Amino acid sequence: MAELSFGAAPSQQVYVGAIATALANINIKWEQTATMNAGVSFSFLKGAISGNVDYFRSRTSDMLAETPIPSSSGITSMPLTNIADMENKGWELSTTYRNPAEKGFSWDVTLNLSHSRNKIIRLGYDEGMISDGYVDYSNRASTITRKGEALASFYLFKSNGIFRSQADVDAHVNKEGDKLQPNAAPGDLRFEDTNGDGQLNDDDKVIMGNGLPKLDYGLTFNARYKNFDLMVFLNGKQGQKMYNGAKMFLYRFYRSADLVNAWTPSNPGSEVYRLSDEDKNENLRVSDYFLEDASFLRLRNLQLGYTLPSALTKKAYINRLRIYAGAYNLLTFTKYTGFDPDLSNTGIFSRGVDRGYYPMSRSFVAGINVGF
Amino acid sequence: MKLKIAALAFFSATLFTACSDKFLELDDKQNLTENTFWSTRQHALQGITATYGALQAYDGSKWTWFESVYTTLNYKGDDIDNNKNEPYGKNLAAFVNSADDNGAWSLWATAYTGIGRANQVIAKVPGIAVMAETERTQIVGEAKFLRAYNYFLLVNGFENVPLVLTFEKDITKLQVPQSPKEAIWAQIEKDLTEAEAILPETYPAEYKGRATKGAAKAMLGKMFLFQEKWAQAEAKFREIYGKYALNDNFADNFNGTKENGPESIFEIQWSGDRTVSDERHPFNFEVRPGALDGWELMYPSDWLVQTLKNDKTDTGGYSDRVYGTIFFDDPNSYMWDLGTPASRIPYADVKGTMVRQVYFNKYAYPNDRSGAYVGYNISIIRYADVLLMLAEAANENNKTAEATGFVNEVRTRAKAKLISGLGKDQLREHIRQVERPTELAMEWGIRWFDLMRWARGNTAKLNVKGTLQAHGKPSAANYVEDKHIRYPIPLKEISVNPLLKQNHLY
Repeated sequence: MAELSFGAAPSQQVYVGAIATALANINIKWEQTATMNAGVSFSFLKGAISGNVDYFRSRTSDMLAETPIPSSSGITSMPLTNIADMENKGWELSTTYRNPAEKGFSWDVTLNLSHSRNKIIRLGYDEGMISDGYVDYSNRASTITRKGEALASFYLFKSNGIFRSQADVDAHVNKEGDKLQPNAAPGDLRFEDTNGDGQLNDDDKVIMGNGLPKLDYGLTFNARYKNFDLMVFLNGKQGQKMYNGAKMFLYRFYRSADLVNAWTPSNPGSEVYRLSDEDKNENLRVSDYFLEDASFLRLRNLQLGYTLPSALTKKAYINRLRIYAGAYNLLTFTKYTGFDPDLSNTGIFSRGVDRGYYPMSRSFVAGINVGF
Repeated sequence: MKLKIAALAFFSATLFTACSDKFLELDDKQNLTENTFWSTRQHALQGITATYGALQAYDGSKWTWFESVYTTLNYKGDDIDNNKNEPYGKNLAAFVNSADDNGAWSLWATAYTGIGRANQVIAKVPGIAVMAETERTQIVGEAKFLRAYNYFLLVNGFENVPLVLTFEKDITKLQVPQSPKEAIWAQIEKDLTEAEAILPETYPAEYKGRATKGAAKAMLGKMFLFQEKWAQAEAKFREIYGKYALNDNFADNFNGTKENGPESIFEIQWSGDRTVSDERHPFNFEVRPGALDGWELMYPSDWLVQTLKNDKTDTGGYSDRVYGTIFFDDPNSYMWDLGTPASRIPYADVKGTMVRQVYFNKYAYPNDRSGAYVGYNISIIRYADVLLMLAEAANENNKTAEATGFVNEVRTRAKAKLISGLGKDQLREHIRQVERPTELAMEWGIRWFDLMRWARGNTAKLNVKGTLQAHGKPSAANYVEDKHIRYPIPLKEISVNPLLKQNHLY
């Protein structure tokens, strides 16, 4: 009576199965990129100012990527196919100013700017579309890739504030006077019927830019004074958007500090939608409520060094001894509320979607360079 | 001189034209490929094993199996009240899911993975000349059974699904349109009938659990029942009547002691084994209360508890199946803990320390390894279900007295008081809303599909919304007629297969 052998009944042999779980692609081939680049190199003031300006246009044919296929085929793994042709174009500017040395002090500054855009020329063998950027396990795709649009464009519902009262909910109607969001309650998000068909559904999602920044820039400043050297490197991205999937996740599991200030009848002016168990209004749906401006400026590298006078070091048979101290990622200026506005993407089709990945860390370094 | 050069040129020319590109084609020696697989008996057995494996989930993961497939199949039912703090199946259970719900896609993918593998077996195994003809046909029969079972899930769940009967290897040809549901039902019947003819009655001990003739008959009967073909259903179930036996102990159906035993007709096979791959599942943790080391993913609904509490013995106590289904405030109610060896914990010991009053006891049994996930099989069809389905069919064929007898066989096993004197309509109501939920509460793929077939059928057509509301299902008010009777065609599928049309109102 005391113990029964549950679970594994005696002599349960495990049989190993094997079967095709992936499809081969006999037509696979390498990607090819054709680039056109036109540029000007310039130099003024006896070399004090120099730089390059480039305009480029490249076309990648037969881009390789894991391609979603219908699971009615029996296969859920994604084969690699030459799924797309993509065009990238943009310009780059790089310019340096060197201040001539005087009294042992010299400095130079370099500015890099670049801008690029891309567009899908061809997608797949049937002009389909690829959804990705899932922010809820495999639910809730936030990006779409299709012909004529940029790679991994955000494809989201358009939100428009919060219903402050039941009257607001009742007023949000279509042309026939039917409520567009009958399951909503005061405190829920309002979504727009963008295609005007009188129904709020997946057809009302709109393309809202993508994860590529409008401007990518970097500034390097070097200065030397006697035996000291200073290096400052800043970089940043301007006009960058990011879908804050991590914030959505925290809202969904009631773990965000923002929720302390959520809408309640006694706090009707809040911009945080109301807490609810069942989320009947689907406030968690992919919308621009979670799309944020992730432009940033980061002090990426700061380093101060001192090289000991060579007269001293030569006695110890050391040619050059430099000590330095510095910091990486010291400061970041951004309005983005997620961990890191400079996250690298998880995949080709989900660029710009933040799923709460580990951010870059700030570090402090100190060291010695020795040359014999 | 000239001749020599001419001769050389001639030879060179022939050398070049004689060459072909064949030597550029290399076989993949690292992986099994189509060229090397499907040539031995071992391959055939591996192929059919993999097809059975798809019953667990499309990726073989125990988490997908519970969190995505079980919740999709079962959470909408009025017997389960899901824990609203957990995301799995939450939107489906509240009837607010959108078309991109992951649960619906997981069910679709799991069924089609099983179908795709079955298609491979059906196409390739007959060509394995080294095997005996009988064994080849038997394996094909098993594949057809599994294919039919998976289409059964799809047609009941989604209604409008593509009929895929061959394993397509060309990536550009994977887009297929949906077929009318009559075509799917017809294919299910064809596959099951062919399987019925070929499959053996039993297997040797080491292969117990593979599809048998009886399993094919049971599925056929169920298929007829779902289409309201009462006469054919009754006839088919009678063919297996008496071939199986109810376990003496109700709980033995769920604690692994009588796996593939006398009451088992077809089960999803698991074992506690971890040496080859992880063959366990976490079902016991999902239902147990936190006070007893569980995660409380779901609770018995109030209506279910009420219905169960009406299931009394002749002397006025509760029947075995009440104690075997729920853990509740009663001196005879207990749950095993997770120690080794496990001890029985009476309800009184944990009363007041738990979040809710009543929990599921079914499938809450521990392993013989302390605190680990378990390996007992999950029943897809068992003999008690067949008896109740036989009763339902017989009743519709106006054999109410005999039907009552079948119901009473099930009741006798659980020591529940016998029923008598019910008319045809009363017995139908009793089977639908009392007997089946009491005997088969929260079991794999039962309650929700039952509600759907009674709603689709023409015999005493069920008002689903009314029933859900009467049974206190939370968010029943969100149920929309002619929408929630099906799952949505997954948005992920429609994105890559523009031939698919979304189901009504999604």
